[in-house]
Amino acid sequence: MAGFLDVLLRGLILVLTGIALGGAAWLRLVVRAEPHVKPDGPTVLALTTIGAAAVGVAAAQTAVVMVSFGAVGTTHGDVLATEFFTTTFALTATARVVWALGLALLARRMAEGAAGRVAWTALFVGATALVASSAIVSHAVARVEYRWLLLALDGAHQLAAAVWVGGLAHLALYAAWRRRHASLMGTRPELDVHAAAPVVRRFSTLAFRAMATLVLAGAALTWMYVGEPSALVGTAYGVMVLSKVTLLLAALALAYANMRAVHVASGEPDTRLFRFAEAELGLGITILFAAASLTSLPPSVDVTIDRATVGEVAARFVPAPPRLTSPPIDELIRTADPLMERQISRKPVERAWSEYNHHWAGFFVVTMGALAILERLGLRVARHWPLVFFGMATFLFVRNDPRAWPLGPAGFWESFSLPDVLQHRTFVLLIVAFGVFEWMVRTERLAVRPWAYVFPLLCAVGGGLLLTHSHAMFNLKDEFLAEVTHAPLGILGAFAGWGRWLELRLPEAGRWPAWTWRVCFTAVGLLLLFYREG
Amino acid sequence: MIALLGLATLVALMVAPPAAAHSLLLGATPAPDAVIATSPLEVRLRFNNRIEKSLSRVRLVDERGAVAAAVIDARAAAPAELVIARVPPLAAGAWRVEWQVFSTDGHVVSGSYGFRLTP
Repeated sequence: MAGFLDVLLRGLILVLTGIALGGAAWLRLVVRAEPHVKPDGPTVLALTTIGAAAVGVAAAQTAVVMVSFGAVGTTHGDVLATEFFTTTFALTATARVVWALGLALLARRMAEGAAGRVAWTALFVGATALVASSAIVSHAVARVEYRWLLLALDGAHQLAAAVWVGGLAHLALYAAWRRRHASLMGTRPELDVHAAAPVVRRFSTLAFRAMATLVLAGAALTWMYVGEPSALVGTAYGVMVLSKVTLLLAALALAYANMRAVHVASGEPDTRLFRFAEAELGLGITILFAAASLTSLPPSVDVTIDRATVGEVAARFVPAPPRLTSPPIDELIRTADPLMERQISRKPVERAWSEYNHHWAGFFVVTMGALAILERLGLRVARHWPLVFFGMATFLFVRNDPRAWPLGPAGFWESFSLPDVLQHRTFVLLIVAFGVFEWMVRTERLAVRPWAYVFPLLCAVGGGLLLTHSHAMFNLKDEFLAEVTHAPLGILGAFAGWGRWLELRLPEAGRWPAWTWRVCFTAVGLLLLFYREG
Repeated sequence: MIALLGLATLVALMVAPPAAAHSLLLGATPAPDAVIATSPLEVRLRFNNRIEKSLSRVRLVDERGAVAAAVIDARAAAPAELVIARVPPLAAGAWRVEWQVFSTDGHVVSGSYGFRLTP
């Protein structure tokens, strides 16, 4: 679990440092906040957000250090703190914690009153240094060859990503502030939004440049870490890079729509732009978590023995009859590794058990997808499709942990003391809760806003989590092939979430968001239905 | 739709092992599954990235579970990606090398492999 937690924390740090630097760039290059002037409402909001993000960076970075220290100490109790805290990683991470706290203090002070030129410069330089120092705790610093070149490329890549994603966060905050301000002033929101046109135009230019830098540096890093095209498909690292590229292309499509709205159409931003920016921000955050996942994987160029071929990967996506017969539970318990022991290999009966679970879960999801499509086509009774969640939750509850109650020897209460079982049952409860919420929204038992937003957000988060969860340990190739469908599942999850978000937030976008999430949803079911491990 | 959250995450957590495989063992002496005639003086492990040797550990375990500690000299003039551990004289039989390394970018990774020492 430490590996998963480490990736989540590193993803969170990428997002928060992005918000800090994106905010500093937003204030300096987009809003063009003036030194020696009392900050106005949007500037105070941006500075407060930067401060909060920096505090979050300090907390998350501290947690990363503690997770690492704990991982070392768990196995080797004799490890000395002085040994750990004199490593490059711990020194850099500790410096980042202090640096982030300093940045938070500075941003807070600047939000309270007029700040001079030195303070504004320090804010921008400080946020830039915070992001750039991420490279010193990344793959680049540990590489044997081309270390300095990789550090420079990684730094440029992360700076560009931070300006883009963090800037989008501040654009969304800015839009929200202006709407609220217009509402308080009693003016028509659209008129006030039009007043933001120069700001939005400047951000569009900044974001475009950041994107260009991000893509160029990313392409160079891909060339150095992946090596050859076949590794993009045949290794976990390569597949994660492809996932990032796919999400980035979708974000670029939204960015292009935004740019057209700003530069080609009327020249003034409208609601459409801000809604697309929200979805673009969501995809950007998902990309950052996928990037964090990359830090836990060996670069493709190093995986020379356990690579899968393109054919082997493609074979995992070829539809085959689902497994509708489960192996006997007795055989599984007798043959497979005990639940409490560390898993060192997967036996055929375990694979069969897992495939059966995936296929039935796929059946449930496809059913829901089909009903959601029918609902869209006008079949009113199909709006009850979230009730299918209950069937799926029951199935997963019974099948997830075959060695625990009700199938296995571990009793009901006893099984809760097992971390994996507790984790799985928590997710089952979440599925039930989400099903209840969605059903109540669709049957108008709950207000659409804000409750309807819970689902797309959690769906997108789920997609992101799936991309961050990894990965092969004891047999790179076999485990990679078993998990290779997780990447498209994660991408489809993100697309479905943000499609549904746009359907709710931007009805004038037409039918495509509604169909996007329904198609993605059904595709997830089909992927699960045809999932195979061998 | 939210099935994507619960189900996908759940499926991932069910299927995937709990640790990352950031540092990759590229080569080892004695080699995995090797059969050797004399007790090795040292175990050499070469990884794909720089290792913080002072926080890395190597040990050898025999068939009965008895442990022979191997000592890493963190100050030895060896390349950053090469871990060299001195090994005490080993008895004949099957041995498992268990390693845990701390890479320069802060990831802890462990692994093991076996070899056989013939009488």
